[in-house]
Amino acid sequence: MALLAAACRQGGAGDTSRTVIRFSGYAGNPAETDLMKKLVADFNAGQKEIKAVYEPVPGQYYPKLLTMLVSKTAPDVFYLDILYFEPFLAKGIMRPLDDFMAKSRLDRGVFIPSLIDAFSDDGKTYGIPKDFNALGLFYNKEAFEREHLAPPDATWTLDKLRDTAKALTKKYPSGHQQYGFALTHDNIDRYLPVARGFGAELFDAKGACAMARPPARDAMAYYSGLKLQDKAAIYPSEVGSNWTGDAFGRQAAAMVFEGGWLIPYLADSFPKVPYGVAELPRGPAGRSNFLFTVAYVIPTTSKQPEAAWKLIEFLTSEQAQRQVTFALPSRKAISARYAAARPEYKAILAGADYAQPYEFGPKGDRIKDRLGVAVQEVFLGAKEPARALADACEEIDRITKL
Amino acid sequence: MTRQRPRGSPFKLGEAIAGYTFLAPFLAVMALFTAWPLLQALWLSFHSYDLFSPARWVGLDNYSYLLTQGDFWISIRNTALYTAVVVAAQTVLAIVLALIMDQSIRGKTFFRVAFFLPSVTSSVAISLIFMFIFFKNGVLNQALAWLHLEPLFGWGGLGTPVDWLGDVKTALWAIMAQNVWSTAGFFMIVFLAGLQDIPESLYEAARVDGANPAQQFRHITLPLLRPTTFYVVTMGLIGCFQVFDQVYVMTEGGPLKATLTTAYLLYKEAFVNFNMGYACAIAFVLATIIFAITMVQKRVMGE
Repeated sequence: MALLAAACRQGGAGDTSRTVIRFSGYAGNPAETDLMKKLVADFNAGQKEIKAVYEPVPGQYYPKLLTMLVSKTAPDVFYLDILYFEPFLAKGIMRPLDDFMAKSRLDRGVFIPSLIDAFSDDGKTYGIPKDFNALGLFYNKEAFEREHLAPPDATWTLDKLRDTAKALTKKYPSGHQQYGFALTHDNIDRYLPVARGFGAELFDAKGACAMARPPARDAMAYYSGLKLQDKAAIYPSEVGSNWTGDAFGRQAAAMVFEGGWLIPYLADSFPKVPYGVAELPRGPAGRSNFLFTVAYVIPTTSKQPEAAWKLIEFLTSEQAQRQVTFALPSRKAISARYAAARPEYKAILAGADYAQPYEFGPKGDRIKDRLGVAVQEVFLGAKEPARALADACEEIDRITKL
Repeated sequence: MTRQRPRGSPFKLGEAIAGYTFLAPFLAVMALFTAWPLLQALWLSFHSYDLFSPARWVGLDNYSYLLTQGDFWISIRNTALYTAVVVAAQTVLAIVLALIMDQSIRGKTFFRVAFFLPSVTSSVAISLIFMFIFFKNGVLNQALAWLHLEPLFGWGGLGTPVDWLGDVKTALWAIMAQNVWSTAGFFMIVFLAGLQDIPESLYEAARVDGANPAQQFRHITLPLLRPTTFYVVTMGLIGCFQVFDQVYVMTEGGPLKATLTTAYLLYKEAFVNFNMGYACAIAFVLATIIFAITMVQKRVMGE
C-alpha cells in the first residue's frame, strides 16, 4: 500500500509544486462531459500553479455530493442546480464569492441578471451561472406536413395544442403508430408550466400551498386529459424511452415540451428527424416556462478556495463560454450572439425571458417530489385531480413547516 | 454437582490466551467494522440527525413516528407479500429443477450451467434487461401477442398492452418474477448437493418395499432434504426482506409506492432525505423482523 502510494507520488512528481483542486459535475450528456474535459485540460495547460482534476459523477449526483460534503471530501468546485440552491443555502454549504469577484474585477453585469440573481441571497453571490435552458415546443415537421397542418407559431394556445395533438394521433398504413404529444406523468416538469399558464401558483402570498385551487385543478384536468380522454399523448416508457425527447426522436410523438438540450441530442442520435421549435403555447392566463440553470460553487469545506475560484473564473470566461453547444451561455453578450447563429434556439431564448427558475424554496426538492406524486396519482387513476392536489398541498404545507 | 477445577488455572488460562490471540485479528476487524457501526446505528436511531447539524436526542420519537407513518406500513406490506411469494416460488422451483437435473438426461451440464448463470450475473444488469422485457412494447408483451394470450391480461383488440412496471397492479409482481428467475438456479445447485447426500440404499429399500416414485419423494427425499430446505428458505427470507437493487434500478419504489420496499424506504430516508436517525430506526425494526421470522421458522422446521 505504502509502495503504491509512493509510486503514485513519483508518477506525479512534475506536479508537486502545483495546488491540486477537484471539480465535479454530473455526467449528463456526453457533449458536456467532453467539453468539460477539454476546458479543464486547457486550464491546466494555461498556467503552472494549479492542477484541476475533473471528476464527473454518473447518476445520483446530489446524494453523492451531500455525503462527500458531510465527510469533508467534497470537490473544491462543483455544479449546483438551481433546484438545490436554497436547500444547500439553508445548510450553509456554499462560500460567498463576492470578495473573489471584486479581486478579479468580475462584474455581475456581464451575466444575464435573472441567472446570477437566482444564485444570490441577501446581497451575496454564491454561484456563477455556467449556462441555462428553457423549454420549447418541439414539433416534427414531417408529421405536420403529412396531415396538412400549419406548424406551431406564436399565436398557439393550449387548446390549439390539444386539437392538433388529436389530429396527429394516427396509425399509418406502414404500421407506424404516431401520437400527438409525449408528456411526463410522474413529475411536475411539464405539468407545472401548463398549470402556471392556467394561472396557478405554487404558493400564495402567505406561503401556503396554492396548488389545490381551481387554476391548478383545471390545468390538471387539461394535462391528464391529453392522455386519459383524448388518448393523444404517451409517456416515454410506453415506447421504451426514458425521456420525452427520446420518444420525439423515435417519432413516436409528433410534439413535446423539451429543453434546448434536445437539439444536440437529436443531431447526434436522430439526425434525420426534421424538426422545428416554437414557444410553449399560451394558457388561459398567459405564458409560462421553466428556467433551468446550473452554477459553479465553492463549498466552505474547500481548503483551496483561491485556486478553486481561478478555475471558476476560467470556466465562465468568454473564451470558455463560446465553446458551449448544449445550452445557452450565461454571459449576456455571448448568449445573444449564440442564439443569432442558431435559429433553433430562438424560441428557447424567448421562453427564458418570462421563465420562472426551476426551484421551489428551501425544501424545494421534496416539494417537487410530492407534487409529482399527485400528477402520477391522477394519471394512474388512483385519485381525482381535486383530491390528488388537495392531499399533496396538505403534505407540502407540512414539509414547509418542518 | 461435582467440583470443577478452580477457574483460571494456569493451564486453562494459557489456552484461552492462545485462543484469543489467534482470534484477535478477526475480532478486531469485526469489532471495528461490524459491532461498532451497529452500536453507532443503534445510538443514532434515538437521534434526529441530518448529517449537517449535530445529532439531537429525541428518545423514541423515531420509532413512534415509524409506527404511525403510512410509508413504513406500505413498505412492510409490500416486502411481506414479496417475500412470501418469492420464497415459496423459488424454493418449489429450485426443488423441481434439482429433481429434473438429478435424472440422467441429455445435456444435463448445459442446463445446470444455464440455470445457474443468472446468480453469478450482476443484479443491476439483470434488472436493466428485465426493464426492456417489461416495457409496454417490450419482449414480454410481444411474446404474449404472438401467442394470442392478450385476453388473459384484459387487453387485446383495441385495448392497450400492460405497462408491467408502470402499473400499480403489476409492478411488484414483475419484480418478483425477475427475482425468482435469477435466484432459483442458485438454490437448485444447493438442492442438487442435498440430493447427492441421500444414500441410494434408502431408495433401493423403498423400491423393494413397493414404494412408487411419488411415495419415495414424499417419504425419503423431502424429509432428508430438510436441512437443505431450511438453509434455502432462510437465505431466501433474508434476501427478500432486504430486496433493494431491483427496486432501485427498475421502479424506484413506484408507481405510487407499489414497489416501495423497506430497504428502499430506508435508503431514501437516509441518502435522499438525510433523516439518518429515522433510517437507523427503520433498519433496526427490519433486522428485528428478520430475526423473529427466522426464529419462528427454525421452530416450525424443527431444526
